[in-house]
Parts: sequence; structure tokens; C-alpha cells
Amino acid sequence: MPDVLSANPAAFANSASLPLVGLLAGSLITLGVMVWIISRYRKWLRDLGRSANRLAQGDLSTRVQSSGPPHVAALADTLNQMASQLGDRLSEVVRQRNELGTILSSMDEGVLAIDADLRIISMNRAAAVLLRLDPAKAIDQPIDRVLCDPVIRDYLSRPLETGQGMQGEVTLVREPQEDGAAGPEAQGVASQPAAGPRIIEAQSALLRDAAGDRLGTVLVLHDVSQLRRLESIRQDFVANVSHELRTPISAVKAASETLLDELEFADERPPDLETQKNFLGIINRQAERLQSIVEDLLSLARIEQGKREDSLVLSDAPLSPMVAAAVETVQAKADAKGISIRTRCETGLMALFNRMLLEQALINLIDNAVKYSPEHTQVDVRVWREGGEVKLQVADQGRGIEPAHLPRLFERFYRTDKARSRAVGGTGLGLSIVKHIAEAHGGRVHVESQLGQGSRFTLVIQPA
Amino acid sequence: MSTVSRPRSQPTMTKTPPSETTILLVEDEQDLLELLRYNLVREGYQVETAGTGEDGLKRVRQMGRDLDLVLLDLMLPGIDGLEVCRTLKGRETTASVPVVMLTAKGEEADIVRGLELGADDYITKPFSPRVLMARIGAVLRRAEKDGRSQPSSVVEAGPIAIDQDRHEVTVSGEPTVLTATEFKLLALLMSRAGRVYTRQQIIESIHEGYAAVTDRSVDVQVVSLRRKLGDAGRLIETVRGVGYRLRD
Repeated sequence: MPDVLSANPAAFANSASLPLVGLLAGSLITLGVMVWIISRYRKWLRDLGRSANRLAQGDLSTRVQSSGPPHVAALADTLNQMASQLGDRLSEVVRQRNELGTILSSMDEGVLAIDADLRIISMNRAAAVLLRLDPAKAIDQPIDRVLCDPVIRDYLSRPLETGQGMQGEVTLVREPQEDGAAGPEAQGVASQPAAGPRIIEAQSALLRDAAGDRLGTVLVLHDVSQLRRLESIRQDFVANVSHELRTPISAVKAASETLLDELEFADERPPDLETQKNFLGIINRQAERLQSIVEDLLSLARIEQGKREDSLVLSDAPLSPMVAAAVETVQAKADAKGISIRTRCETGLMALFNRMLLEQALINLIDNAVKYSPEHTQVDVRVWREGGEVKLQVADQGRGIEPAHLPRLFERFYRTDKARSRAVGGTGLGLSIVKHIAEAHGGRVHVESQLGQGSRFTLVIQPA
Repeated sequence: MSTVSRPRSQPTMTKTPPSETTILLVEDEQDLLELLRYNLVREGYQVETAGTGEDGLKRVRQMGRDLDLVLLDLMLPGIDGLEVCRTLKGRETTASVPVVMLTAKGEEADIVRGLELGADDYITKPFSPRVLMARIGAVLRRAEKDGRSQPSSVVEAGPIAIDQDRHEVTVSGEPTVLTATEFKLLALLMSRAGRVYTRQQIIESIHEGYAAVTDRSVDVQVVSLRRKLGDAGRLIETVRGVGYRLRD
């Protein structure tokens, strides 16, 4: 400012206006500085505002430059700190949500939740499959519209009325959706293939908030169909076993009591020796039958245990000695009926097998062939390699098996002719044992038969 | 089961042989058939046998009015015992022939179905031939009584007497007040002492089919009836898994 005064002599001429000019210039300069300061602050604030905006929009990687005067820089730092904390928290929440989602979706149990207005708010994959819902369409829908099963609807809605959860077994019948009748139900229903009725263990519970208000219901569905099926197979088996054992026991009991009565009243009626011998014969025969059934049941149990525990010893060995031994065991019985057994086995043929078990399977097949063949016929035992497999075949010239029986022939206690099977001392377990032995060798057994022409059983196992 | 707890019947061999009584025995197990036939013949019955359901029905047709009782195994190949029973009870000429079923324990569902088809009694395997003979004797006596006696309005069983006409029940001479349902229940059980009635048969009989009644409500009626009969209430036996009967 002194420079201005000295450099402009003309200013002296109007020295009276000098203070005014100075004031004006000072004001202008002050104004300029203020405008500069304000614009700087506006820029800082704009930067902060922009960053805050980006944060608000969810871009948590945004960081504010901490420039400017200390108080502005401090604000920026706080904002940055907040952003980073928010980012951490949010990723934690996302991680937890994904974790929960993963757990829910990998659960075998179906989980489904509704709100107090009976709208589906969440479900996992298993629930969608069990209830045949398409999650994308079913979420937010009222249950009346998407859930066809009234019992399941009850499990969801009842807790909201009573405050009590429900638990029990529900059978879901998988009927094909009827058009029209289903009406609006059609929407949100996934096209899951029907797999027969499912037996479901269902449990529902009320959802409450911290204040205790009823928010909705969560339903957990556990598919126990397979479990029930296995249970019923086991029950059938137990029922079959007890029935099979009861028949010989009945005969033994009736025969022995009758004999005792005979002796008790021997004074009034002299006991008849022939009758007594007959009844003792019944007792003996039926006791033998009981013994065979028990022995067969034990071998079945042993084979199954071996399969389960993988403790079955299979070794590479030549087949012909085993085949010869099996034929030898049945030879006497065959001779008695005038049946010739013809054996053909490729020499040096090796396979991977358990000697004792495979021999038993082959004996069962040859023994059956001899039992059910008429006298003076031929039974053929043939062992050969075909493709990557070894086949052991027993063919007879018996009367054959009716086609209706073939699919069930290998079931335990299945008999095509109860009376005939008993007459030849069958337990009803022989073929079932053969099947289990084949499976224990990673192989299979099958039968071909034609009425009047005989039957052909083939055991297939792995070569060495 | 009742078959086991039953007291041994007195030696039945000393009785007069009911030689004119003919029994058809249907059993597929040869050894059992032989044993049963021996015991029945020793009791003095005429015995015809059949090894299958088809054969059994054929024998029934052949025997006509000479047939007095059918002893029927339920597990038969082909036409099973239940089917034979249904056929017998469905034909006018054979409906009144008593049927005693032979069945395995644990097959209560079959027993219940058999009784509902009209079978008169059952015995479970393994059985005692003596008990079986006593049961057959009881069924034959009941059938004979039913055929002979005029339907009387008063029936007695032990200390209990029931008068259908006057709608009165007395226990050892003392009048006992029963509800209408309890009265019908008692009348049904007393109409054939010794015969087992299934819950379904009781429901049909006392409610004539139109009321919605459950098995459980039959049990409740029986409990209440037993209580009102006092000591005599023990005459009403529960046959587990099957139904109820009045001890004879």
C-alpha cells in the first residue's frame, strides 16, 4: 500500500479522498480473501458431502482426503473412521447372513417361516422340495395360496392363535395338481417330480419379539419316509421269522402234548405204538426244520454283517476246486434221485471270491436244482468267463417257475409252493442267501425259467 | 393270552363221544393236520379234512347239512382262511355253521376281521390240543343251545341276570341301574357267553351304526359297566388286541 502512494503522484492531488480509497481497497482485498476462504471451505465441504453421500449409498471404500484446516481434517478423519467401521460391521453382517443361509440350505430338514399375516417370509431348499414350492414365487405369498396341504397350513397358523407350537407326523400325499380346482394355488408351485407319499416329522414354534408379541411361526420338516420304510421292512421280517418259527413249534407242542395225553390215559386206552412213532417222527422232523431255519438266519446275518463291516475276505483263487467241492456235497442226494450232475468249468479260471461263501451259494443252487427236478434228469453246472465277468450257472430240467414268482424269488421266506418247499425241507431262505453272497462279492444273481422246461440260475462275480 | 391262562379242562376223553358231530378241518400243514385229526377223532368227532381253501369250500358243499363245525387255519395258500370264512358266512345254507379259526399270535388284525366276518371263536398257534378241544366243545354247545331254545327274555350268566323285555338287570338278585348303552352292551355280551366281540361289532350292535362312536368310547362303556356290576364285573374279560367277551 505505501508503494501505491509513492508511485502515483496524481493521488496527492486528491489527497482528501485517500482514506476512502484505502478503505475501499482494503474492503475489496478482504472480500477477495473471504471469497477465496469461503470457496476453499465450500470445496472441502463439497468433498465431505460427496463422500458422505457415497457412504450413504453403500460405497464403503470411499475415503475423504484429510486436507484443510485442522478442524476440517478432523471431521474428514472421523468420517473415514466411521466408513471403515461401517464397512467392517456390514461385512460381518453379510458373512453371518451367508453363513446362516449356507447352514439352512445345506440342512436336510426343511425350514419355513411365516409372518403374523400368514405370509411366507423365508424357506430353505429342503422345505421348497418337500412342499413343492418355488421359493422365488412363494416368498411373500399368503400360505393359503401356495400351500395345498391343510395339515401343514395348520402347523403354521395354529401357533399364532394358541401360542403353542405343534409337533407330530404328517403324511404328504403327492397328488398331481388339478387344474382349475387349485385356482390361484398354481402360482408358486414348483414342478417337483412326485415321489409318492412322504412321511414327515413336523414341528412348528411361535416366533416372538423381545416384547413378547407374536411375529410369526417357524416350521421344521424332517422327512422320515426312508426311516419308516426300513422300519416296516424290519417289522415284516420279524413277523415272517416268527411265523416261520411258530409253525414247527405248533407241531412240536401239539405232538408232544398229544403223546403225554396218550400216556396219561394209558389205563383207559392202550397206547398205539404206531401212533406214538408217528408223532415222535413229527417232533423230530419239525425240530430239524427249526434248526435249518435258525442256521440259515444266522448265515444271512453273518453275510450281512460282513458286507456292512467290509470284513469279508476275498482272494484270487482258481474256481474249479471250489466248484468240484460244491458238486461233491450234493452228489449223494442227486444219486438217490438218479440225477446226473454235469460240470463244465474252464480250467485255470481265476476269480476274486470268498471260498466258503461262494461254495455255499453254489451248493444252495445245485441243491435246489436237485430238489425240484424229477428223477433221472440232468443238472448242468457251468462256469465260464464272459466279457469282464465270471459266470457260474446251474440249469435244471425241472418243471420251471411261473413268471409271476420270478421277481420275488430271492426275497426271504418267499415260496412259490409252500407245501412242496416244506416237503423237500426248504426254509425259504436258500435263494435269499445266494443273493446276499452274490452282493457281498460285488456281483449279482439272476434267474431265467420256462414252465415245463426248467430253470437257469446265474451267479455273476468279478474275475481275478 | 386267554388261551394260556384258561384252566385245563377236565379230561375230555371220558365224555360221551359226540359221534354224530362232524367237523371239517382245513389246514395246509400236513403234520398239524394229522395231529388235529387224531385229537378230534379221539374226542369222538367225525373228521373231514382239506389242505387248501378251495378244497375246503368244495368239501363244505359236498357235506351239506352234515357239517357241524369248521376248524379253519387262516394262513392257507390260494384262497385264504378269511376268504373261506366270508364265503361260508355269506351263504344262507352255511351261515349258521360255527367257524373256529386257527391263527398265529400277533395276527390280531386277522382275528378281528375273522370275528367280524362271523367266525365264532379263534385259537392262536402254538396251541394246546386240550384247550382247542375244550373251545370246540364250547362252541358246539352254544350252537346247539341257540338252535334248540326258544329265545327267552331272561338270560343268566353267573350272578348276573338280564331281562330284555322288562329292561332289568340284577346282580345276585339285587337290581342294578344301567344306562341304555350299558344295557345293550351287556345284553350283547350275555347273548353268547364265551364269544369274543370286537369293538366294531359292539359299536354296530349298540349304536345301530348311526352315531359316531370310537373304539375308545366302547372301552369307556365297558369300564363303567364293570364298575356298576361290582364283583360280577370281572366276568367281562378284555381280549387284548381283539375285543371283549363274557366269561362262560
